[in-house]
Formats: sequence, structure tokens, C-alpha cells
Amino acid sequence: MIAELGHFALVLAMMVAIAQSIVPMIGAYQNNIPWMRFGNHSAMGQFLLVAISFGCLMHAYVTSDFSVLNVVQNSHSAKPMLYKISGVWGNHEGSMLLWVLILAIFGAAVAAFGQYLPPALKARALSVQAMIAVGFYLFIILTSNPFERVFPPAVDGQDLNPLLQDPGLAIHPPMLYLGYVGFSMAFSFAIAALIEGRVDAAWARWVRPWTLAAWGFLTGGIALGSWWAYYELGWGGFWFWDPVENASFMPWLIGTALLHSCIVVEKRDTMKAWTVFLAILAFSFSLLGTFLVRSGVLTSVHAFATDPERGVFILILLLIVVGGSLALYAWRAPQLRSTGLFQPISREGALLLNNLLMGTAAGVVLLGTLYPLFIDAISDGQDKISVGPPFFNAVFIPLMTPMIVAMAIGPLLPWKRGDLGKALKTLWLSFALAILCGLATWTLQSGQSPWGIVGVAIASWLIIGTLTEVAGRIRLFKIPVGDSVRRFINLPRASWGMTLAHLGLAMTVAGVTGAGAWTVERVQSMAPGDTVQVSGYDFRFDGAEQKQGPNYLATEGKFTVTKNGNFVTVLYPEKRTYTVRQMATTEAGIHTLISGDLYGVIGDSKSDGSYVTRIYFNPLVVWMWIGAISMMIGSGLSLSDRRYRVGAPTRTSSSTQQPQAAE
Amino acid sequence: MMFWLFAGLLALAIFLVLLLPLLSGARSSVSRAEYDINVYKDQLVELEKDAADGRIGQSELAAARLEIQRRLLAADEEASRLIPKRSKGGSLPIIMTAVTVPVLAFAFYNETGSPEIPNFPLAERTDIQTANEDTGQAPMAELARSLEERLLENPDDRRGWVLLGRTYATIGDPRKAAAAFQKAVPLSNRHPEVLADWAEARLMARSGEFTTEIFADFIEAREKDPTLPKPWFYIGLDKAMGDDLEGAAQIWTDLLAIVPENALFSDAVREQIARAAEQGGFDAADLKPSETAKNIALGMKSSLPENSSASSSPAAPGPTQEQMKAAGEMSAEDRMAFIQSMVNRLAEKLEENPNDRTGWERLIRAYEVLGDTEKEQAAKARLEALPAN
Repeated sequence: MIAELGHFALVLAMMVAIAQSIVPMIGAYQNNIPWMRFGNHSAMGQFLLVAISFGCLMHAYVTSDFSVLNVVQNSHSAKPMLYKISGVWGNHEGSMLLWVLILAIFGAAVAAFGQYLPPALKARALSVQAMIAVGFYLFIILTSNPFERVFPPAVDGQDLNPLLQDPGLAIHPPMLYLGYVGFSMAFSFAIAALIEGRVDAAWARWVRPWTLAAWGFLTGGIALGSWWAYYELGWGGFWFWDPVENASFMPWLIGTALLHSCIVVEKRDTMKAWTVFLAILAFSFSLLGTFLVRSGVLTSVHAFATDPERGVFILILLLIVVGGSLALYAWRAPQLRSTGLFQPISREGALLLNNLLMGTAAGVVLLGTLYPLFIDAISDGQDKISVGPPFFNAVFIPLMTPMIVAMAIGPLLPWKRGDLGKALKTLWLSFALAILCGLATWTLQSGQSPWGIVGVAIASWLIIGTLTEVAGRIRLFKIPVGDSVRRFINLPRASWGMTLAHLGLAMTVAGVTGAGAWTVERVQSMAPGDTVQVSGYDFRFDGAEQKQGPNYLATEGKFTVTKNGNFVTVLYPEKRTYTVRQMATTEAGIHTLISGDLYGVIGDSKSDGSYVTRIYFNPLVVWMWIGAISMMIGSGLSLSDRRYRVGAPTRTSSSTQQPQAAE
Repeated sequence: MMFWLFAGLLALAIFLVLLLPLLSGARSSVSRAEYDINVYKDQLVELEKDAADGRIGQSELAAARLEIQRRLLAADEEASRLIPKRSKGGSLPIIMTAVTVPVLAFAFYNETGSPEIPNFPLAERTDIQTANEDTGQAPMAELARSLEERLLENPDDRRGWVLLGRTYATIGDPRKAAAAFQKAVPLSNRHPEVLADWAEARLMARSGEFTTEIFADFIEAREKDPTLPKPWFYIGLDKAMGDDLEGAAQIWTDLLAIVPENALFSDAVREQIARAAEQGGFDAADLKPSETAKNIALGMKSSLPENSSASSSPAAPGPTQEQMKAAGEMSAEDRMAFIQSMVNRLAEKLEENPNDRTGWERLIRAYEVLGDTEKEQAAKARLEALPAN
């Protein structure tokens, strides 16, 4: 009964969404306050219903109700409780339900926290958002219903893909979806603005927090996915330029551009059409990502052709959303008037440069992701090419290097027109330290890739440059230190956010550079007692033993790591075989140091009692995760800036008094 | 009934939520420009603060202030010029919407849902347990557990793992069976029989859904020992699932030619062939064993059929030169050993299920053919000891 209640709640939510996509839109057109307000209540109602629906599915998983097909296919009575819960979204149907749940959460958030929004803008945005929701409800109920029943019920389930039975992946999809779906809000505001034919400062203020929230979650989602790949796949790698990864990276790049162009719209009343375009693009890329991952196109174009129902549905949805919004854009965007003017060398110019580089980068990733699919499709599966890391590294690094160089300069330039020479003079210390770090790297590394040197140099340039900007703001050493500290504490949260996000990126660049350029890998066969030396650390293999997990058998190896005879740590890598799905997974043993990760993997055993082992030293990897966390905290701080809590005007339309700024 | 009650309550709640916009009094609307004015005023405050903190210079302050003030004036002018349109439309459309939404939801749900199916939480289910008790499998499960414990201490016992696997397979727990066979496979150096058992258990664990790996293991088992019936049967099954019914029936016909006339499962295979023929619309009588199968049956095996599969299309390698040669040289002794193994298996089965009269009769005949009088007498004694039904 509970599963059926979930099904009914979902259907009811779809009907509410249909009403929400019509009533507030007409209300905004006719300036009918109750009709517009209908959007708030329906958004709340939708959230309530989808939450009930999601809870019902979770109940079926937790109680192992094997009369629900989705539970049979993705759960098992012996599975640990955490993965019974995360199994809810660890599959296609459940993850789509999570998608609409997050969509409903964002809708309800606009309804609840958007009391300062112009009512017509809010009504239209909620209406557009409901239209997106209707598409996804239909998709779920017609092609991917998680509440499908089997009768008589199965004896037991088929278990969740063991690769997904992992704490990192338990929270990765919700984070990623919060990011993807968050961009739907920016999209809805963009479409609402196009319908209204006006993009103004109030609009920009309201799009930016949603973009910030989405961007922060997406950053976290991508970082978690990458972290998971790093410790679970056992290759010591963290990013493979795999299409699924690219699918989440493209919206991130465009979202980053959007984040920056919103500032220009608010502060300078210009770049409006461009910003609206980016908002449409960011969500389109999110949908494209959903399509790529959910349609089966990635495994093979032909897998898509054999079971086209879902793929074609999302493809049509994608075409309607992207095609429709771009057509509306072409029709209405020319009416968006911009008043602000600026010189190329200025804060606006720097932000525009960021936009162009981010946009190009997203375009390049798109090309690299879709090209193999395209070739596969037109050659009818005869030609298969793969576009891998060499391509992406070759085009991505040259794009990102100038961007990071410009990132240190941009915040130092004033609005409207700036003096590049003056900004560069401020950065003399960064320049000197970047050269110094580059030279130090060059001496230390034994003639390997030049990108290692460039990476370290630009990372240190950006770190010092960002700190220089903060030092300038608090006038460090120009006024008494106590005053500087006071200024430091009183800096607006938005500026804290920027500093942390930029520092985070610099740390990530350092981590990527370290792991990319100087990873040391040793693959060998080791008998118990054997020792292998990697980057100055001695890894002694102490043998392996069999262990019985709740739903898997594991071979757990033991490595004792010493450096110059001093004990460092013990690593316990595992190789697990999940009995139900008969799949093997690796769990790397990792010990994190500031300078790098000690990383051990145990492989198959040989007849003589030895094991194949892989030992890595991955320099600086931890800085990637610290960097990602720093970016997330930055987005959160920026989001909490007081600017986003400016109140609603209070005067009535007949009065001519000045409105009160709600401060 | 409970379901309709809760669904009705949910629908009622939503109906009320959708009516709420009518309850709160309609405030007069504020011009859009006034929201902009608010932002601009806030920007001015922020600007002064920046200047006071020395974050921007005096000239920048003046320029920026002028710009914001200009926008402020423009917005103010717009606000006083554009008086918002009067509100049109009444409350009826909202009431109608609030009614229509739940009605449509019930209609739609009726098409897609199955309200009659109750919950089946595992903890409250009795059907699984009674099924086990009925067939007296509880003691066997106990046996399996103690065997498993012994094996964890002595994990190199190949025969132990195989026995454990077969026990679990009999109880109807293919997952655990697969896990046990998995241990035995490397220990037995991928012995074809163990390999076939492992593949079968995994297939059962996946509710009969083939994977490339499972299929490849059956192929490997068949290559190593073409007289094993299990791989033939499942390779045929894979073909049948790939909708190549005639191909499947052909493989099963070959199987019948390879195994002894009165093999235990022959009837089941014949039934499968008949069903495939009925579904595929061809005459099973037309199917003749292939030359390969006849050769295998005669112990003169020359070459194996191609490893093509309709549904799985695995990348399994064809037989190697050595394997072909070894199979071709299969001697009369090997063939005898095969028959012996089949008989032993039957005997094992009967130990587990001693009430099978026809089984005992088959076993007695088999011993007769093999000339093993001692065992023949023992089996006869067992058969006679059975109570007449």
C-alpha cells in the first residue's frame, strides 16, 4: 500500500505541476495577485507530494519490500542499511525521482524565501520551473516508474551494483543533482526575464544566489565523484575525461561563467543578453548531461537504438527545452537594453575574459565528448574512436593557463576602466614567487613534463595574487595592524567567498599538477615479507587474509609503510567480491600526507602465494580535495552575503514617497 | 481500502493547499521598478561603505555614485509613470483548478497503479520460510553452515567447496552456491565441471539473465570437456533467449546425442526442444544431431561448433589447436570415465533423495552395463528396502 501511495503522490504532484505551469503565468500576465500567489502554494504542495513519494520508495527499500520491482532489481536483504537507503537513488528510476525531488525543493525554496522577489517575476519563474517538472514527471511515470510492482513478490533482490556500495557514492548523486537542478532556477528566471522583456538589477540579484548554490553543490558533487574514482577504482587516478564526468563538468564551466557575468549585470547594468544566454546554456548542459547518462547513448549509440523509449523521451525533452528557450531568446533578447559602458581593461573586461575562456572550455569538452558518439553513429558502429586525456590536456591546459593568470589580475582592476600596469605592479610579489616556485620545481624534478613547472608556477601566482588582493583591501602594513585586522573581519561575505573560491581553485590546480606530473607507480608481484620502495617510502607486504563482509568476500592485504626505518602507517587495501552480482571491486588503502598520498592496491593472488600489488605515491592529491571544499565554503559565504536579503518595497503604487530600504 | 483512505486524505490536503491563495487578502501590487529602486539604494549604501573603508578612491566613488543615482532616477520615473494594471479574473478558475487536479490524478493513477497489491516487507513475510520448511531444507541449511565454517578454516579444500556449492544449489540459494563454486574454480585449476556449476549458479543468481562472463565460462567448460551436458544445455538456452529457437533446439538435439540414452535430464531436454519447436513453428523431428555431436558421442570428436551466440555475442576465443587435438584423441577409456562420472553423480543424487524409485532402477541398469555386480546388488537392496507406495 505504501508503494502505491508513493505512486499516487507522484501522479498528484504531476497534476499540481501542470496547474502551476499555467495559472501563475496567466496571473502574471493579467496582474492577478491570487493567481500569481497560486504558484507559491502549488510549489509547496509539489514539494510535499514528491517528498512523500520519495519517502515511500525509501520505505520499500528499508523494509526490503520485494514486491516493488525497483527494490528487487537494486537491493538485497543482506545489504547494509546505509546502502539500502542510498540504493534508492543508486539506480535509474530512483535517481530520476531524486531529480524531481530536488527540483521541487528548489521550487519550494523560491516560494518560501523569495518574499522579496517581484511577484510577477516569481510567478513566471515558478511557472517555467513547473513546466520542466511536468516533463520529468511524465518521463518517470511513463518510462521509468520506480513504483512498478511484481506479484507474487520475489524471494530476494539482485543487489545494488557493488561499485555503488560506497559512502562516497551514497552522497555523490544528491550533491550532483542539487547542482544540475539548481541551474534550472537560473534558467527559469532567465526565461521569465525574456517573457517580461526586462533584465534589471533586481533580476541579477536574484539569479546569482541560485547560481551560487547550484555551483557550490556541483563543485562538491564533481569533487566527490572524483574522490570516489580515486579510492575505489584503484588506478590512482581521479579524473579520466570520461563522458559521464564531462557531462557534469560542462555545466560547471558554464555555471562558473554565469556566476561572474551576473555580477556585471547587477553592478553595471550591462552584458544582460549574454547573461541570460549563459543561464539558458548552463541548464541545457545539465539536461544534456542527464540525457547522456540516462539514455544509454554512452555505452553505445546502438544500445540507445535498441531500447529507445527512455532516450528518445529525454532527447525530445532536451530539444523542447533547449530549442524553445533559444528561440525565445532569439526573439526577445534584442529588447534587453544595456546602459553601462566599459573599457576592455576593467573589472568587466576581466569578467568577460573569464566568460569567454570558460565558454570555450565547455565547447571543447562538448566536442570531445560528442565527437566519438557522432562518428559511431554515422559509421553505423564501424568506426569507433575515443577522445581521451591527450586531447583534453592538449586543449584544456592552454585555455586554463591564461585564465588563471588573469584571475589574479581581475579582482585588482576597478570597474569601467582600469590600469593594467598599476595592477601588475601590485602583483610583483606574486610574480617573483611564481618564478621562484617554478624554478624550484625545475631543479627538483628530473626533467619531466614542462606542465608540472607551469602548474606550480601559476598555482603559486594565483595564491599570492589572491592574498595580495585581500591585503590591499585591508590595507595591510599601510595602517596599524589592529585596524587591518578589524577591516579583515568586517570584509563583506561576498568578498570572503571570492577569496576562498579563488584560493580553492589555486589549491586544486596544485593538486592536479602534482598528481598529473609526478605520480610514481610500481606494479609487482609480492610475497609476504617483500618490501618495495616508492618515493623514499618502504612498503612491506605482510600478507593477505580472507574476510567476510555483510554481502561480500574480501581479500584484505596489509602493507606496513616505513620511511628510513621509522614507522609511518599501515595500509589495508581490499579486493572484494560481491556474491550476488559476482562482481569484484577494489578498495585502495590510502594514507594522506600533506606532500602526497601513499596508495596501495592488492590484486589477484598467484599460485605461489604471492599477490599482484600496485603501489603509488600521488603527490599533493589532498590539495585537490581541500581546494574543492574551499570553493564550496566560498560559495556558501557569498550566498550568505547581506545583499541577498534586501527587503521588498513597501509603498503602494499610488504613493510617490521613496521606498524604504529594508536595512 | 486503507490505500484509498490515505490517497483521499492526500488529495484533500492538496485541494486545500491550492485554495489557500484565495484566503489571504489581495494586497495591491507594487510596481516592478520599485524593486530596482531598492537594489540601487542598497548599492549606494554599499558604495559609501566601501569608500569609508578606503576600498575605492574618491574619484571612483563619485563616478559610481553618479551612475547609480542616474539609474535610480530612471527607475523612480518609471515607477510613477507605470501604474500597475488592475487585477482581472476572479477566484472561480482557482477553485476549478483545485478540484480538477485531484480528480485527474485519480484518473491517471487508475491507469498506471496497482492499488490492490499490499506491502510485502521482508520481516513480515511467511511465504519464504514455509517454502523452506515444506521441503525439509532447514537441516540442510544447517549442514551447509557448519561445512562453510569448516571451510573458512581450511580454505584449500576443493571438494569441500564443491560440496558446499551443490548443497546451496539444492537448497535454492544460488548466490551462496556461486560464492562457494568461485572458491573451487581456481583450486580445481578451472576444472570444466566446476566451471559449469559456477556459471550455472551465477546464472540462477541473476534469475537466468546471461552475461558475457557466464556465457564465456560455459564455452570454456564445453571446450575443455565436450561431453559435459551442462554447458550444452545452457549455451542452447542462451540461444533460445536470443530468439534463435531453432538454433537452440539444434544444440539440445546435439546434447541428446552426446549423453547416454537414459540420462536423468533427457526428458527435460526433450520437453525443451518440443516447446522451442512449438514456439518457433518448426518440426522437432526434422532436427538431426550434427556431425560434431555424433563425433563427440563416438569419442572421435573432430571440431566444435562455432561459439556464436545471438543474445550475448561474447568475445570467447575459439578452441585452441591443443584442445582440438586432445578432444580428437579422446579414447575409449575417457569415454568410460565419463559414463562412470555420470553414474557416480546419479548415485550421489540418490543418496540425497533416496525415495526416487526410477532413479534407483536407472542406477541398477547402469551398474549392469558397467559390469559392477557388487554395486548393482547393493543398489537392488536399497530399492527393495523402499516402502511400496
